[in-house]
Order: sequence, then structure tokens, then C-alpha cells
Amino acid sequence: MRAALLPFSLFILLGLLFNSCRFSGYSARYVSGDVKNSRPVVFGQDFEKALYSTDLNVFGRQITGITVIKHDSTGFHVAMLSELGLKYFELFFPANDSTADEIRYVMEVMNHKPVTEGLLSLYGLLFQPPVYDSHARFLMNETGKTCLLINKIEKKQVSFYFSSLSGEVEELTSKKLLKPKAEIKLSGYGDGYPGSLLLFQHKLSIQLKRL
Amino acid sequence: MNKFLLTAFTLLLMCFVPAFGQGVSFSPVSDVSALQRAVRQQSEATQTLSSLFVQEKYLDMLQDVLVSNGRFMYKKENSVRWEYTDPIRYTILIHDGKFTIDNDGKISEFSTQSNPMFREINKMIVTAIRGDFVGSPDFSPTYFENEEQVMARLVPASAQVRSMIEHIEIYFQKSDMQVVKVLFAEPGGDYTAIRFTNNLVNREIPDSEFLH
Repeated sequence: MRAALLPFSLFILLGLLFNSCRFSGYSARYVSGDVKNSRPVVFGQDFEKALYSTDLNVFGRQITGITVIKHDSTGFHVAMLSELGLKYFELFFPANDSTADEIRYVMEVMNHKPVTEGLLSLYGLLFQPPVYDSHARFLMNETGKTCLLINKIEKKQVSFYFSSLSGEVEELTSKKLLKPKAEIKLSGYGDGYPGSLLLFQHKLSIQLKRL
Repeated sequence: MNKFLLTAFTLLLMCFVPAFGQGVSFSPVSDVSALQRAVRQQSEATQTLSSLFVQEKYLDMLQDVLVSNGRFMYKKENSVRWEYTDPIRYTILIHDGKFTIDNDGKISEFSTQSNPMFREINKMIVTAIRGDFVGSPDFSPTYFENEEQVMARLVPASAQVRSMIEHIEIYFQKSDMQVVKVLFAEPGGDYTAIRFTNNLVNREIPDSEFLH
């Protein structure tokens, strides 16, 4: 019995160790009063539209094209097109939380659950607004340059790594039990939105560069 | 990847169909045989073609138009250069049995002989340029005209293609039999319109334009 429990205990121990290292370098004790007011921003309040050249790698198949991201009072719209104008997919992320994220169109050959779920998950993370509720944790790294906001949203743990000075988000991650981790790296901000993005989850990756 | 490319190239190839123009209100063409003859005569007389183009992609849901600019060249028998210059740099070259894509400096090359997909695309180009689309089993065509232009509306025969493209409209200028606009109508109200300007016919085009 004891022998059978040993691997299980080790597994738990490793899990705890992993958990404690997840936000290595970040701690609440580095947070100063001024920084507490910093808020993570991906798309600024005045953001309306952006065009990106796009490399989409989906289960080993590479597709290139143009992605348009548009914001209006109803929410965020995303569409990816081929260079020749053919639409691959179109997604909608409503501003209203009570409405579900939506695939408005997806080309038949891409219309497979792992692909559509991956697209919704990645772009959903990109447009995820930060939440400041009782579950939110606010940490800071030793340098004082990067803040980390950790949210619990619908059984997901969403982390916003962002500049303490500008609020520009540098990295987003989303973890959910038994689901592949979703990650987004962002850089090259200008005109209130990122110039370069790398979104990846399991066998789906999307590289966006501002046009 | 192959299906995506095949579809994209199918759309591109539709732009190479030789014909005439566009107008205000169109009525059905009364003499379809005469029109078909005119299309074939024009394509037989065309050794080279070059033009500038403006591509407008209208996205119904976004209520927005994305505009791309570029240039196009064709040389008999089947050399093609389709080049976007703004806002992306993306060029497709077809020459001497090779298919080359230059995506902002990233080069991909395919052989039209060893690759069945590109062999098929190559065949379609030649068919399109010769005006064989008129009797093609791949499309159900109807023809319209006004004083200045003729418009060929092609409905894809394949249900799979129709799920992406409801129909294609090709506008020909009656005066010189040149294509001035091609429109791809998609289900849901989106469309891609490509307008051709500065058309030059049978001007000398060196082979180097079709090489990377």
C-alpha cells in the first residue's frame, strides 16, 4: 500500500513545486502603491481597426494571408483572408458578456472542431478584458517593470503580463484543466495596439505583423 | 494546404479570362454565339497582356473594404505574373512549368509537372486565356450587355466551389474586348472586385518578368 502511494505522493509534490514556480520572479511584495493603478491594455480605447499580415500554422499546414481586426460598440470582429481576397474565417467577440463568442464563417476545409475551438480560444484570450474582483491577484517582478494580473474566469486562469509604465500587455496566458495552454506574445506597440503578435495553442499558431 | 491554394488560385485564374467590359443596366445578350466567337478571336490575337489592378475586398459583417494594389502580366503560352505591391508584397509567378510564390521575400517553388495540383492550375490558365470558359462544364454561364460592356456571370457547377463562390462576374469593354473588372460574389454578401487599368496588349514582355 505504501509502495503504491509513493508515486502518487511524488506526483502531488511535483505538482505543488510546479505550481509554486509558475510565477517565478513575481511577488505581491514588490507591488508599490503607484503601480497598483496600472491596467493592462492590448487595444486602446480609441482602437478601431488594424490590418496584419498573417502566418497561420494549423496542424502542420501553413496558410498565409491578411487578418483584419475591427472594434465597434458591439465588440471585436476578426477576419482572415487569403492574399487574393478569399475569406478563411470570420469571428465575433461580443462586448456583452452574456453573448457567446461566435464563428460567423469558416471555410469548409477548416471547419473542424480542434481548429475552430483553437481560433475562438486564442482570439478570445486576446480580447479578454482584465477583471478586478476578489479573485484577482496583482504581482510585480523584481525589476518593477512588469506587472502580472492573474484572473480566474470561468474555471480558467488568465494571466496578463504588462508594462507597469504603459500598461502595454507583453504576454497573455490562459490555462484550464485538461485543456492545452493558450499563449500570446505581443510587442511593437504603436497607435494604441500591438504591431506584432504570436498566438499559439497546441498545434495551432498564428503570427501577425502590422501592415 | 493544397485545397487552400487550389481555391485561391482558382479565383486568381478567373482574372485571366479574356473578354470585354461593364455598364449601368445590363440586359441578356441576344447573340451568345457571336459573343463566344469574339472572345475566342480576342484571346487568339493576344500574345501578351499587362495591367495594373486594384482589388477591393468587401466584408459585409465588418462593413468595410480592404484595398490592395498590384500589377498583372501574361505572355503566351502560359507565363503569368500576379503581383501585389500594397499593402502586402506577394507575387505569384508561373513560367516554364514552375509555380513560384514570393511572399515578402519568402520563396516557395512548385513544379507544375510533378505536382498534380499545379499541373491542373496550369491547364486552367491556358483554358481561361483561350476563352474556353464559354463552353466549360465547370461553370454555368449567362451573358449580359449594355452599350459599353458585356458581363459574363459564371455560376460554379461544383457545390464545393459554390459554398465559397456563389458566382463570378467578368466585365469586358466592348470597344477593345479587354477585361476591366472581375467580381467574385461569396455567400453571405461578401465580394472581391478587381478592377484593371492601364491595359497594354501585345507589348513586348521579357521572360525575366516571370522569373524570380
